[in-house]
Amino acid sequence: MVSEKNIQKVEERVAKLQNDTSLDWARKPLSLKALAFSTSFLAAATPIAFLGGSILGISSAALMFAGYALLRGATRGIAELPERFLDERELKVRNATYVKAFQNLAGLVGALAVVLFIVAISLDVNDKAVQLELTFDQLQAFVWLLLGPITVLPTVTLALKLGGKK
Amino acid sequence: MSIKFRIGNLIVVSTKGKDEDWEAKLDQKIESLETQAETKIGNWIMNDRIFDGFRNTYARVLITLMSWGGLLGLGYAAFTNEGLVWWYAGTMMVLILMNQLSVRYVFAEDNTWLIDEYHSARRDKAYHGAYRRVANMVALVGIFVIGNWAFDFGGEHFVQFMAPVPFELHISWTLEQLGVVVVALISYFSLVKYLAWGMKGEPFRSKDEPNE
Repeated sequence: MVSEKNIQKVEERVAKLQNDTSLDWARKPLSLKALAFSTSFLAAATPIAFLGGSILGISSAALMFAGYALLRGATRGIAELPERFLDERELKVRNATYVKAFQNLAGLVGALAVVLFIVAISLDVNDKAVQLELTFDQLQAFVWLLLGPITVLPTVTLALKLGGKK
Repeated sequence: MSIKFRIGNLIVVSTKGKDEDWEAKLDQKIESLETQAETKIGNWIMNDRIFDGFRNTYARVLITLMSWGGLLGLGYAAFTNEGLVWWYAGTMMVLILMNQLSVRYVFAEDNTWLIDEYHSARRDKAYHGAYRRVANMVALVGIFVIGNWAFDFGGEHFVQFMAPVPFELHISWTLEQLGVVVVALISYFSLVKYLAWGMKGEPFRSKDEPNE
């Protein structure tokens, strides 16, 4: 059960996020686009970095989360905040953003599934069996291949949408 | 367009441009047929009563249960019994089709002209719900995999917990089993938006009741 005090704290935090002016520089169209592309790049680079070791991977993930945090502030958290904190316009923008984000994610997962299937077949066709041996770093890379894009995709999509508006 | 002129008793009718007229008329005819066909399909989708049985709340509940049952139950059966792989793929296709019918194809990509404001808002909200479900699932799988590693190795070698611990995951599946996993993944992504759409369906009507 959430206490009244906690609810008030959350509301204060949300109000602070939505009225914040310290990130105005990041709200310019060009900055939004640049931040969105950098964060997407880091999300794509993180699994590759994990193949080079956990420390490299964690550093890349930390950079990705830094970019994500900046973008989240720049878009005033519209993509993540619960429904009750958003007005009618923001709610419409958020839901429309998730349409695009879901379609992109489904495309990514579909492509991954097909690639996985082809790789698995080519690994051992004669035995008709699929044998995969993954080290911990490879396994983490695989997890981050999905976890990174899933985390940043809605905010990146929203930032690109807002950044593209004239 | 024709030009008509007279030289004495001779009347000359120029037919220049007649072919172009024909082409333009043919284009117009084809365009109007296309529009008519599109309108008919659109009207059918919006007012169809044949598949009403898929659209009321009871049907939505049943279809949702069948979707989960098919995805997980039949998925498990196909994973353990290779003879069921094609049955699994076929059943999932049928279930996706049933879901599409039950929500009047609102998730089809090129149908924005067909859906009204209510359906559009509900569809966008369903996409949000679907995205959250997928994100939670991936996070849970990630936590499970990494937690499994921590439990297996961290428990026995707690001192080495944060040190690079040798870890190897061995997956030994047949191609059919891998096929089942891929079909399950693709089916889940296709179904999740329908599952997030919610149970509330169209009002339950008898065949004699007209559309409002």
